[in-house]
Amino acid sequence: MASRLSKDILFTYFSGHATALQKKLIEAWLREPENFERYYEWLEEWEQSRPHFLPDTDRAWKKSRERIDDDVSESVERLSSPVPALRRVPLLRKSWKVAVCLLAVCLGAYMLSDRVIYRWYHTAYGELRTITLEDNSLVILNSNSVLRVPRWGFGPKHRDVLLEGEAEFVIRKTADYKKFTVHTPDHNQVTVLGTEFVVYSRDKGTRVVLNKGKVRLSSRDEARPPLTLLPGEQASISRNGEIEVEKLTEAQLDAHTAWKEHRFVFDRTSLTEVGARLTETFGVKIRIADSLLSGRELTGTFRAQHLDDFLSVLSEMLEIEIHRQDKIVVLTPKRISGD
Amino acid sequence: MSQSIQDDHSEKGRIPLGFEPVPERPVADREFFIRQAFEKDAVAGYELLFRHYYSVLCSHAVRYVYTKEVAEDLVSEVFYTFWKKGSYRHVTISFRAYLFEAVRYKCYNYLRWEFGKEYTCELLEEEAISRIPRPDQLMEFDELCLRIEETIESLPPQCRNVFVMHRFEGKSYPEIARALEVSVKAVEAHISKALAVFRKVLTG
Repeated sequence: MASRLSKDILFTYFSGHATALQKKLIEAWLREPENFERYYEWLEEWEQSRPHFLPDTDRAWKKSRERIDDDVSESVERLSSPVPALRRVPLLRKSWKVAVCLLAVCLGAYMLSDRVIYRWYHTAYGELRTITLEDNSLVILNSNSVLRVPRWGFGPKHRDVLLEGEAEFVIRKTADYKKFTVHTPDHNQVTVLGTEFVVYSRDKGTRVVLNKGKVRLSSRDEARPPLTLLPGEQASISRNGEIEVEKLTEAQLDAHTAWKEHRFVFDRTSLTEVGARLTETFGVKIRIADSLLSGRELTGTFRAQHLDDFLSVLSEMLEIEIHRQDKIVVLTPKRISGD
Repeated sequence: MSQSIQDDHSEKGRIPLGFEPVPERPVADREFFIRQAFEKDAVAGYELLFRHYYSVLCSHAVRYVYTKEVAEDLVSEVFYTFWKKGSYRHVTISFRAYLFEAVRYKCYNYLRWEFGKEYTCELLEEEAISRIPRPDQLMEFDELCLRIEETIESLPPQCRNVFVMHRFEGKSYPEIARALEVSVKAVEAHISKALAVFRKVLTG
């Protein structure tokens, strides 16, 4: 008879308004094992009709999905690591020990196998290189940059590459929507499905400019939520992991992709900044003789494949004297004759 | 929050009928499709399960922990453990019962950790869930949940307001101070008072 307890009585009980006698009744009802399931069925129904808050299930699911995906790629890494010590890991009870061991093994494996697992593409100063990946995505690697691509193809779930320097990516969507992720040395991540964008990651920090499509940026600071970038926007990630987004003008946007055509675009750019850009591209040290000169600004587009081409234009425009000694370039104001 | 409290009160006036015929049907039939999906493709099954129960479990968890973020984290953790251990292969009770049980244990352990005087041996979640619990164990969780709600109700109005804004809505002290036009110090005092009451109720 007790198995015919009504839903109402349980709802009253869940809401905290059941009498002591009703509670006794419920206890007796619960003693029958088959009512255990019904209890949860009704608890769910009761909870469903009086939600305390409505979490974002989509977002939570995406997070959870990533977590299980990461596990898959981790296990792939573990399989490829040549150290057999991993077999013993389950014996270690304390999870921190497991974590430390795993970290040590992964680090060891990572350092050993980096050259084996990845194919390295280098560009020298002043060199541009176009790389076609196995999925027909294009990478245009700027000077003084390194791109690492898995030697034996992308994994089943992800397409991951590592970039140091600057590159433009034209990513093709795959039929199964495999994510494409660019990792940078400061452990920030740019994840996309299929789109065009430029990643810059050098000493000054990481910068991403999006031309087309949609990309997601994850700072290495995991507490920060990932950020989605829209076309025409630039995101800068500072050393401490902060992400800043700004909308770029047409001209600024052009400046970020100009390097592909050996062009330099400057817009009221100080000579110090110009010097920094030359250092990155051609690997020369720029010395500016006086502070008055270093504050001078440059505007315009310059086409230069070699450093000397650029320097001669610079010399004419700003009326400065340029002395180049191998890797060191000294800029001095031009002495006006007769003075 | 206030909405659900009102609902509860409106129910007070109704007299439950006590016994009433319940149409007999298999309880877990709604999970049939989820189980089927698990058999075909584990990830698809997991997604179905997640989307079906995530929100209701969060809503349940928040009754215990009173912080949305914590509730979401605990529920996500439960799902993750479920996935990681491949529990869908060997759970003998319904997924629903398993998940609710696991979330309740997680919340309970969380509260112990947050308010416990010392860190006592935590309830072993896996062990507990693998068998059907005794009625008094089930009801203990219900009691705990009600005790928390009562405790919040028993706080002085301003103190309750501050506590809920901070814990449930995740507002910072300065934000609350500005909204209620009181000093940050006063907000701090309210919070520590509320926490002291909680500690007494939960550990006493």
